[in-house]
Amino acid sequence: MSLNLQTEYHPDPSKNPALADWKRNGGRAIGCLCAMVPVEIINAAGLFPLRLVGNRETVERSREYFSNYSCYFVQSILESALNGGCDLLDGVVFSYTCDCIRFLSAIWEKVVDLPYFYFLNNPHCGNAEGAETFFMEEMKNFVNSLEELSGGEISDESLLDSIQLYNRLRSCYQRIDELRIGAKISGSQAAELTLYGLMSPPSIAVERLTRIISEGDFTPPAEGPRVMALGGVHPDLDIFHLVESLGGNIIADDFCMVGRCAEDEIDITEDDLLFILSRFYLNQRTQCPCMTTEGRFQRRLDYIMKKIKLGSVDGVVFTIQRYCDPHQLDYPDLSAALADRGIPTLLVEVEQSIYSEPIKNRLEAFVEMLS
Amino acid sequence: MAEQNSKHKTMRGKKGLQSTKKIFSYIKDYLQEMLKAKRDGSKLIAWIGGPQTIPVEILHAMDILPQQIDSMAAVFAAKQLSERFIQITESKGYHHDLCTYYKTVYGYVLGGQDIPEVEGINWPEPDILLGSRSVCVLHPLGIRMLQRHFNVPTFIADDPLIHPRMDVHNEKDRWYKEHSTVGVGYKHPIKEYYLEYVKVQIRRLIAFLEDVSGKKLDWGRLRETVALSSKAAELFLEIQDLRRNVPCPVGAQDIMPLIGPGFYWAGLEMEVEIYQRARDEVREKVEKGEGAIPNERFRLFFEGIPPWYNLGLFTYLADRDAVSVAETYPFEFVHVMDPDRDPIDNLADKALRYMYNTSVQERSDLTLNQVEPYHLDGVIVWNSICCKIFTLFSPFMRYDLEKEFGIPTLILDADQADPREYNDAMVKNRIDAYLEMLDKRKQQKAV
Ligand code: SF4
Ligand code: SF4
Ligand code: SF4
Repeated sequence: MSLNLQTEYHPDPSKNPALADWKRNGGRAIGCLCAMVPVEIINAAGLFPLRLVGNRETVERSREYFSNYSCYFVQSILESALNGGCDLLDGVVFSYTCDCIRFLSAIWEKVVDLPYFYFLNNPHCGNAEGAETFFMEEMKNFVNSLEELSGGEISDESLLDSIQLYNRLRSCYQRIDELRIGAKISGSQAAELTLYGLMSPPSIAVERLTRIISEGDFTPPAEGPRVMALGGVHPDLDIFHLVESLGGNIIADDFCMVGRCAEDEIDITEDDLLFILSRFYLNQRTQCPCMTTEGRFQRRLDYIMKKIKLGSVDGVVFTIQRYCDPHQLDYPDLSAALADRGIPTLLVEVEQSIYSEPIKNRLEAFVEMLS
Repeated sequence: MAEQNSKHKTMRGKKGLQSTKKIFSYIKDYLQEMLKAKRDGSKLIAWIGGPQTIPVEILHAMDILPQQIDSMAAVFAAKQLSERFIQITESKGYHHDLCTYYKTVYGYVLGGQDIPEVEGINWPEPDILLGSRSVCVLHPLGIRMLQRHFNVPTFIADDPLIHPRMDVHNEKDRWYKEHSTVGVGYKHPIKEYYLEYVKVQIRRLIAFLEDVSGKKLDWGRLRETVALSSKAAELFLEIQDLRRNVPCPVGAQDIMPLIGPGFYWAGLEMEVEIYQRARDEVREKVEKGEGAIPNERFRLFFEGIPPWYNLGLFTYLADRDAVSVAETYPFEFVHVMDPDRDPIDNLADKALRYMYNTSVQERSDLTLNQVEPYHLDGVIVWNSICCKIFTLFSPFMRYDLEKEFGIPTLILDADQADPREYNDAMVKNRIDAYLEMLDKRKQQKAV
């Protein structure tokens, strides 16, 4: 079936119907840059946290304030904000993951006029001594700041409810991931469902996704080469559609807005909810390559190998944003490790659009080789 | 005449101070010490990526020999070797856009050590790797990359950036003068848990070094190295202050090589000696009214890392009566500390208040604060195109300079170690046009 979720969400906040509805009902919304932002806290404050994933519009106005030696994802978000694309948002939360985001946050504070701005200072070395304690203090400040914005206290109950709600959402993502790796749904369908979840109010998303999953009315992907895609941010389903149009299927990925959302649920075994959250965000199972946590690289490789086995993956495509240091730095050793294990790989560099002739041709040749 | 590399028309720089010329002999001695240590295993060699949170004062107190990735790469670039090394690294799949400091050093590791031209800078391989995020996220990631190659004991310090929330000027109509940094480092209060976190990192570092070296840190010695480092910092900063004089006694060609001692040898007598000698020389020049260049007309501030393979550009500027009177890069290495304070507190302070660790706004204010005391006419950015810390900062600073002072900024795309895309003719044309514009502004002001 066609999920038809396109009419229900949009990566550009100003065109996102879920956000427009929310605002019409008097709600307030916060854009989150990066998967490291603890959405549970924002939601517990009664605000709707939605992921910003950028877009493929041409960057013009942001050139005045920002450099083109930055990943396009970050550039496009600034451009969109300068053009009013974020006007429906009440603010944005940045986390300190990579330097592109750090500098975006600085110029944002200066030139983008939204009521709320926050920079969450997260440690990079998740398992370093002191990191959890430090991050917890940062989280407390973040809580205070959100309380000021919302005008009410974030109680333990509301935080617990929120963590449980997001756990349900995570289990939806896991279910989607299982369906996908079991070749019951295509990569693009899985990505669409997940992106929908990231850009919709969580309670609505849980309800809707649960229903879609239980109805199980999916079209399995065509038999063809099974590809795993690795890399950073994609604002849309283009890469999934492109591979499918060439006869393949992205059966797994480690994108922070698709595959990596299928994290384990947060284990609520301790009383201190902020501590639980700090630990979770610092030591997620599959961490972004911007993290320097001891053993992070090996864990990423293990995760990829596990998916490759489960999904009988034929080949791996790296889709890396130009000027993205963390992903570019992981690539050579990671692709060499995969080559050692006999897995074919291809590198695709992403800037504004993925639909360029060279990218298409190389992907086509790759998919053909795998079939 | 400066030596010229025909391919990219890059030139080595000319130095003026006697004390700067001597630095190379210190480096030679240091190399010998390292080679000896490598041979007889008497001392550990540590490669460091991301200074400050890895205080070399601690390493020297423990007889461990520090080697900085940045400095190694800068020297390879100045010796016109970086291009070859970068190509070696890129042939392994490392991207063209990635930090050329790391690609230079990694290329040296992967094959550059065997070429005859490295004689005299043939740094031995590390026994341990140390990294931190005090400058950029790439540093600790680059150290992890080297860890995968060398498989030696590796330590990464995690350290927090100064949060923009701590700045006193979040208001829209901020006025930089009232509350910003004058001089070096971050001057506002820092939250206790930030300091505490960095102290934990420094203690972790000490425990790690004790473990790999099998020796305990002598705290008395650490107090001494901290005191020496602070003394050297005072001397170095005095040189910076003396550069406010008109004419400016010393330009970037001398100041850039002077960074090295603060970077490698903070905490050693040697660092103090070098800076003392340089300070004396600069003082003398001021007393005599001698400038760094014969005819000073344009006083410039430099942001970013200079293209090390072409320090001859400073000669080009000098020929056009332009001198670099201040730069941000040298401000980052030294820090004045209080010898009576606990050394860990001191070093944590040095790490956190370090200019590249401050919020972006603070860093921009640092430049704004140099405009009046240094009588700046213009600001030039070496836009190191592989480096987010500079490329993403320059438009921000340009915006502030224009707004607060109406000073135009010239942004020159020039990588610090990779000469391949460096376009000498274009860079020089743009410098010429910029100086012409500054000249017109000066004339208008005079009327
Ligand atoms: S790629 Fe990493 S840093 Fe970028 S948005 Fe995703 S999780 Fe955040
Ligand atoms: S991690 Fe890469 S893709 Fe993500 S924001 Fe940073 S530079 Fe861009
Ligand atoms: S040149 Fe830039 S990216 Fe490279 S280590 Fe220095 S600050 Fe980091």
